[in-house]
Amino acid sequence: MKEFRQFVVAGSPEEAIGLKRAIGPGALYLAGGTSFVPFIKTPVDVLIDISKLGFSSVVVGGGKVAIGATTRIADLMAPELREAAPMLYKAARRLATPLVRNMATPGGNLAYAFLPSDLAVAFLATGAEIEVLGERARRVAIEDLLKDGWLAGDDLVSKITLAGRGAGQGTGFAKFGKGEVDIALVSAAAWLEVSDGGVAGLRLAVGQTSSMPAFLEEAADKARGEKVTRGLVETIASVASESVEPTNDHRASAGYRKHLIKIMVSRAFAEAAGEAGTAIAD
Amino acid sequence: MDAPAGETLVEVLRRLGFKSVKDGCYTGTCGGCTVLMDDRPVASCIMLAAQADGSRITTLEGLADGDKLHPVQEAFLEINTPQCGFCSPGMILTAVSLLRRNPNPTREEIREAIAGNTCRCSGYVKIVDAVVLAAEKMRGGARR
Repeated sequence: MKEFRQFVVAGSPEEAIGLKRAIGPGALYLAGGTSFVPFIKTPVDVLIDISKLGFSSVVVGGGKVAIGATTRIADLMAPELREAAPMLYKAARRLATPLVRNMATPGGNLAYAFLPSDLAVAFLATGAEIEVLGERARRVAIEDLLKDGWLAGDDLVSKITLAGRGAGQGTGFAKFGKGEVDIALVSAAAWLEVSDGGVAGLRLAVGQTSSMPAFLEEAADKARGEKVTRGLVETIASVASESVEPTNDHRASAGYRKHLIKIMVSRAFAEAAGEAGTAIAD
Repeated sequence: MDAPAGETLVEVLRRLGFKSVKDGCYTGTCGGCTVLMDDRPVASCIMLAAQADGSRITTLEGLADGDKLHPVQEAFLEINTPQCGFCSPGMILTAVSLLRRNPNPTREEIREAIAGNTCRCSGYVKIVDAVVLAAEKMRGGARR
């Protein structure tokens, strides 16, 4: 039994935010709870269940995919989404197990980005926009959210919007852990746009390398305008590995993580090139 | 019924006597505590009972129709799938949910579906065999 003193099902975003502001740090939002319930060991005064706020639908249209923050992660693997935004399927499929994915939510996964969030990495690569409600309500590009200290206070994530798949574009997601369903030691995601055989755009991110995911602008800049070759993939992977200072802990040494970053970034890039319909030249 | 705010679903179910629901790891890793929540398998050890309010929860106890076992249970018995039996309730519930969504899964799809249900006795081969057999039974609508 956990020391949670009160459980309140919020009926509206205003109610949830109002409670959080009134009570402060003693109150916590609860979405799927799959990280929160097992891993929070300290007493909590009030748990605010935010799963019934109407943030659980996925809307595809206008070249975009809008994901409600409390959609079940299992639902991101739906066949129609696999076509519209393949990254969602790739990242969701590698996130924990079906039992967890049937409860866990993308909003919760983002809020716990300091834990190993796979979706934060996928969303960074796909240029997601995050809608946040609360006193500091905003719609913000995910890389700016990362620069500005992520989420705090009464911030309540309501929606994540990504661009749908366009012509000449591809996505890749790679992850390496102890086993298929374990927390990653390193994950990497790539979004690639190819035009006239050259890189028109690249977005790269890695996760589980330190306390927060990293958006790799320097490595991506190296690729712009270049032909898609084996040499380019090696360059990107090396720059990516150089630009991150990984954690050194009981799960993996910093050096091993740097080694894995190279391999995971290469795999994510290769998968993205394949999806974009581009062969990697020698 | 009432449950304290901090009580997990597995704790409430076992308190009520539903002992097929195993409390194994309390981290959502082993799948012994699997129940169906509105037909989807979930780990009842990493959710609070309060989160299940308004949902339909199915445990292994609710699968058989009187003395008539569910086809997945029959298949597990026919193939002698359970060894120690600890994972079987969760494994069976996950299989039931899979077969409702996908009546003709490949072996690979079965393996992906049971990825959250750990069996430490076996190499999973007989478990997958049993789900394949159950799928045949359910599609045929009769015993083989």
